Amino acid sequence: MDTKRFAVSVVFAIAALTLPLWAGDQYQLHLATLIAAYWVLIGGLNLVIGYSGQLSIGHVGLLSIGAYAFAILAGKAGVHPALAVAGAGALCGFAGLVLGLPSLRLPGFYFAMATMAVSLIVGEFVLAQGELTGGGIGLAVPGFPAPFDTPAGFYYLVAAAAAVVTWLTWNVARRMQGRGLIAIRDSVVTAQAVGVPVFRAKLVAFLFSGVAAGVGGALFASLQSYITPDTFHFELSMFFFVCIIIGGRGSILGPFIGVVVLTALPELVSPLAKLGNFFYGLLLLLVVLVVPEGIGRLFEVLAERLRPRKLESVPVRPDLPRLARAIREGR
Amino acid sequence: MSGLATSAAPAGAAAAARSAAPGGDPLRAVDVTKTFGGLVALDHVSIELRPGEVHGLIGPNGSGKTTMLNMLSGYYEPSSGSVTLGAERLEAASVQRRATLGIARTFQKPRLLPTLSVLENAMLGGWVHARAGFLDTALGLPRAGREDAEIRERATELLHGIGLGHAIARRANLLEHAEQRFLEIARGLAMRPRFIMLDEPAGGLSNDEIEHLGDIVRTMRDAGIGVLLVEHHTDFVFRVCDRVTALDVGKTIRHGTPDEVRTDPEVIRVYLGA
Amino acid sequence: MLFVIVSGLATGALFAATALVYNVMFSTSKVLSVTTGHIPMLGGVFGAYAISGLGLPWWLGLFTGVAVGALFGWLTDVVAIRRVLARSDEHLWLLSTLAVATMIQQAVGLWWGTEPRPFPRLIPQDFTAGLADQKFWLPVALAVVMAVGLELFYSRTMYGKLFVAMSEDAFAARARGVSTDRIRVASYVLAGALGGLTGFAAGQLTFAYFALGMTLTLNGFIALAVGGLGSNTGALIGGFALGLLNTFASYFFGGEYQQTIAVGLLMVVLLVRPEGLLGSRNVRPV
Repeated sequence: MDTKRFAVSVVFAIAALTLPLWAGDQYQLHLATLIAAYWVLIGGLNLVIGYSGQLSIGHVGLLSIGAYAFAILAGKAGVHPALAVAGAGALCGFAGLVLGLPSLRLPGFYFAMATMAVSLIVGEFVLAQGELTGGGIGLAVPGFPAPFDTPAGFYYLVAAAAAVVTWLTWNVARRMQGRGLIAIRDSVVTAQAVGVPVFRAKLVAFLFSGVAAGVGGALFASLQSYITPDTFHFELSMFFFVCIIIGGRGSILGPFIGVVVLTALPELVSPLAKLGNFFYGLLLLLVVLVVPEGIGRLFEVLAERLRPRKLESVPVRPDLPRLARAIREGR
Repeated sequence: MSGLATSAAPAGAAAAARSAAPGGDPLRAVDVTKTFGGLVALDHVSIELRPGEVHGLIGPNGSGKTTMLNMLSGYYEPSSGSVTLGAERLEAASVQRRATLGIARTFQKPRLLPTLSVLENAMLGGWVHARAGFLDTALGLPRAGREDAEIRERATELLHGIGLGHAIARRANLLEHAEQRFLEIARGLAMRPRFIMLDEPAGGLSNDEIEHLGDIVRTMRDAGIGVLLVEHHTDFVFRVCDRVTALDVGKTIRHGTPDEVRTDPEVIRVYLGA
Repeated sequence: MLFVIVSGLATGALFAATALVYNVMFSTSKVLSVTTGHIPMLGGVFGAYAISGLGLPWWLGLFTGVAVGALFGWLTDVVAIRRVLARSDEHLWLLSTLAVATMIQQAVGLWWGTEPRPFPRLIPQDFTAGLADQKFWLPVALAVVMAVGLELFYSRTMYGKLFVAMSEDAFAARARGVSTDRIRVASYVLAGALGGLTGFAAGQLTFAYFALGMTLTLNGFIALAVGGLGSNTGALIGGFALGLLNTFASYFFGGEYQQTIAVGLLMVVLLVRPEGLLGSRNVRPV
């Protein structure tokens, strides 16, 4: 990881660790906790959208499953919240598997529509099974026991989960697994040629994103303390999706900055809040047309325009003994 | 004419040393026919790719040479006939399975990952032998990091060896055409292949670059890899190959040493002009 | 019971017409645009605005709906398709059309309001007309006329044949001197006009509602996928099948699982016949 990104990450880490100390008020602390909960889901979803290139626009459905699973387990069934989170994660991972198995074989548009449809199906199910889910009225969601029952305490819990997701996905991203996913995204033929089991790799990433969505959903629900079907509207799926695309595919830091900015922005600039989804759509369009690789690349693209570095044309000159040695060493 | 007819014995000590080197099983297409709807792309063609040998495949457009390469690498199944590697039948084997068996290839139009560096593109070839799975990698287990470092080191050496040392950190979409072609070969070599199949690698290369390509092909051969060279550039093929198969409209018209093929009247008529 | 069938055919016709619009855009650009469902939405909303809001006669309302649809079709091409097709990244058009779709839905929601508003009567008719109510047979008539019209267009007119040529082999068409860019723009304008017309005809069924877009994008797509990408007859079959399935399921099981059933149908068909009922095997949307 280059020094620039390392420095930025360190700054974020320190800011995150000390946040309750310098956050202005309860509301800002709540917002930070919300960002962290979103990131638990988005960090996992990043591997699906940003790395393997599967454009899932229905992850709000998985968030919903995780949230309701937690509310039901910890609330109605009285299970300990920690176990309930694990249960929500497992259930959502299973849901990801069930959703991914038939749909990951489909071409891009079909897959996107399938994920959108599934999020609507989850919504229907929640409304229809009123006995279990409280239907249109919704459910109260319990909090966590001490020391996580204070806003600061809960913030640290969610931040820790966010840190874990970051670490897991960063590991995958920088090793061969990550490169394999990027190959699936950018050149399936190449991925096949080097032996990547394309469907299986996509499915594993999707399953992981399901577990992350489940955990994120559980924490999100606990933060909101009351959930209704309206909490999980389609716009939230767009929001997740846009954070990743704008932040930049193939990056961990980019989408993280994306979540922070896109969550905080409507709070700070209130006219934007009213525009809501229009703003996300506009941002998405601008990014796709101008810097498809994400805002992170924007700075590099601008730098290239201002300071064009002419790459000297160096002729290819093989070093045959070195090549022979390298080939033999691999046998 | 059967492609498995005994070829003229290679002359010279170097050739003898090569054929004595532990080679392993050849990759064979035996009596293969491939039809697409009504079109017969390959008509009872046989070809044998031996480790430590460069086999050229030439023919005019539509002769079936690309179809043969695609079939050997796993993108098509033959309509009849067999593809074998030793005792194993490969006709229905997936592209990925063939990769694990040590079959690598390059593409007519280079396929690279534009957002990754040259080094990372070359490292992709190491995927096929990496053992660390998703969970191992996510949890940061030492095997994933160790394999990654090994693959990185080997890819670096291959890139230097092939002549791309100056571009290792460059983004792949900034490469010139020749560099892209050599990168694909480096990626193939990172797979530790027994066979590598090059799909018109000389396309768009300058004379110097073709020289280098020839040197690289010879180096691969001397290291024991079986090289299939599908090419339009017949001079290059005759210079570099140990054996050549010439196709026309899906049939083999001549198979043998470069000299034999080059002077065959049918080959001259169909392909080399006049 | 008859009511179930008639209303099923009507909503099915709407889905079928949307699927036809998908086909027109796909034929020349090989793109499935997320904005497809929003075109009828615009046709309905602006038609209602013209007649109820501005007090214009029904035929001016019709013209407005069609014109707005055509304009939006053109806009989709200019903004979301043209620049994006030039790049090699295949996913981008999905993102760009999704972006435009989101923007148009929100914009209309902000301007028109988020509640469904009634669409005016086009032909003087009692509201007690029951099964003969125009809100049922207008969409059905339109869908059939559209499908027949498109077939005639493709087989009898010069422009239509150019569309077909381009959809079968754009490269060859360009090599023969066909201006594929202009054909593509024309197809998007045509698709827009047809979509606007659809929304106008179905307005009494759906009401003028800003959120109709995404629903139609999804259901129109299901109709398309079931019937087979690229097939207009398939679009009709898929649409009517979906509409009837929806209303029958509502009648027997209550309306709570509409989306589930629709997707269930899609999944079953895709698993058994991935190219759809009448689709051709080599039409692969990327």
